[in-house]
Amino acid sequence: MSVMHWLTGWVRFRVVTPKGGERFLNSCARFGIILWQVKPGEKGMTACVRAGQYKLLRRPAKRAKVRLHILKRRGLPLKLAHLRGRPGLVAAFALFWIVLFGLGQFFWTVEINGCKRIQEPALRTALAAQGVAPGIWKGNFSAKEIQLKIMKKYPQISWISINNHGSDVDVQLTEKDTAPPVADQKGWYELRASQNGKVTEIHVGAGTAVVKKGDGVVKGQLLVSAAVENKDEKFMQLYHAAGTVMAETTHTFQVSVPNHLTQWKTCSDSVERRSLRIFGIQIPLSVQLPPQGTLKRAGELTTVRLCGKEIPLSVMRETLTPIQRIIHRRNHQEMKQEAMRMLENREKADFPKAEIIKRKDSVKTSPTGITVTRQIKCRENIAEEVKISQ
Amino acid sequence: MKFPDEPSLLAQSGAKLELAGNREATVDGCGGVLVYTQEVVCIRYGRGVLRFTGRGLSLHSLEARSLIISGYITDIAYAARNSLLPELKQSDDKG
Repeated sequence: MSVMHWLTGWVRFRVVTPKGGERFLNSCARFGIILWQVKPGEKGMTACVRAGQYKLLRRPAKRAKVRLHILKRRGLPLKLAHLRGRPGLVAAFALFWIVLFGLGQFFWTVEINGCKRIQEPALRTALAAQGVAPGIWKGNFSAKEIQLKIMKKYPQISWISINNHGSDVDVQLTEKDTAPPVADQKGWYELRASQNGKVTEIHVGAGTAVVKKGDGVVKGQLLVSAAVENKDEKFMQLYHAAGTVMAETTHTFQVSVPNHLTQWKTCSDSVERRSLRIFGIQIPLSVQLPPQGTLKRAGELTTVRLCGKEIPLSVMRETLTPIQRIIHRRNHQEMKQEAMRMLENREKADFPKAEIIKRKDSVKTSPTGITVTRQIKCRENIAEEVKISQ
Repeated sequence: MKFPDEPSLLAQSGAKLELAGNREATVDGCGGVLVYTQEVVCIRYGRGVLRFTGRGLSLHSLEARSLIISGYITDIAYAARNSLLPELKQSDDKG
């Protein structure tokens, strides 16, 4: 039997008649019923007919006064016939293909490799804005376009490749390495003052000092000249001036501390909630409702991996803590302590290499808080290299 | 080579007999099966009767106006209207 016969289904039957079955054959031909493998036999002739046409044989059989006896039934429709009584099975089969095809139209996992300085969550957000995130339809996906947009957004990326493997997206990237600073060895440099101050010490490595110990200098003033006079040869030669010029400098800065301190304080017990994210859909696993009011959220998302590959299934654990804003009124002592702490931090940040000789604080109180002004006298290197030629 | 001015009546009616050796015969324009056994197949053909004699004959396919006879064909006879087919030889049946 040919494949077509198997697909349409076929029935082999016997024509039971005391006479020959020629009349039956002619009737079948007249009714347009196609028979094949018509074989005469001792018990009667046998023939094959399409499964769908078997019922049509009743009229020719009645006309030819013969009886038909089915010998064999084969083919796909007959194989599937038993499914008629099981619509659930058919529906599940259809649903399987629909789901398989439907789910294949979405991205389910996005794997990122190669992040060093770039934060992966930030990159995921940027990719999601371009339509690459779990649960997003991948209809208009264009890897080249997204690569260009991501590279434009993150100039520190030297190379990025977005590969679509069905429903998985694999993002491979390489970040640019920061080039080491190139020391400028060419040209002539002189040393100028970076601060106002009084010179206390001079150490010249190259060049000619134009100030001396005890001199007062202003910001930008020449300290060490690049020109060096050769007294024997009677000519001037330019050098890359080098050295340190220590000076006593004075700096003033101030910090303000308000007397009201706003704080967020936990007001009741935290609630932990768990949820399951499957194919981008969040299914809560906890029956507890989130507390009312302002909440502080903290938690973690654990993505399930199978054979080292992310699958679109993740468990989210979230801790919700109810918080309320409390305004705390500080006394003068507390404000002063806070101001001192802030001033120390400022000193460390702004003058890391300076040696503090003297500090003088003045406190000014106002209805909203206090303002502390600090004047410091310090000893520091004020020599700053300034290029004077190419 | 000169073609006939008008095709034959048989050709006009669409009747055609095609033989593939002595194993298969395709008949277009069949008017009906008159006798069908493993040794003899008689069919109405045009205005006459066509008889295939052989061994293990079967109708490979039977449609409204055409059929395919397969088997070992030993003899083909045709009798026009108002004429008789030659009698079957007993030796052919047994051979």
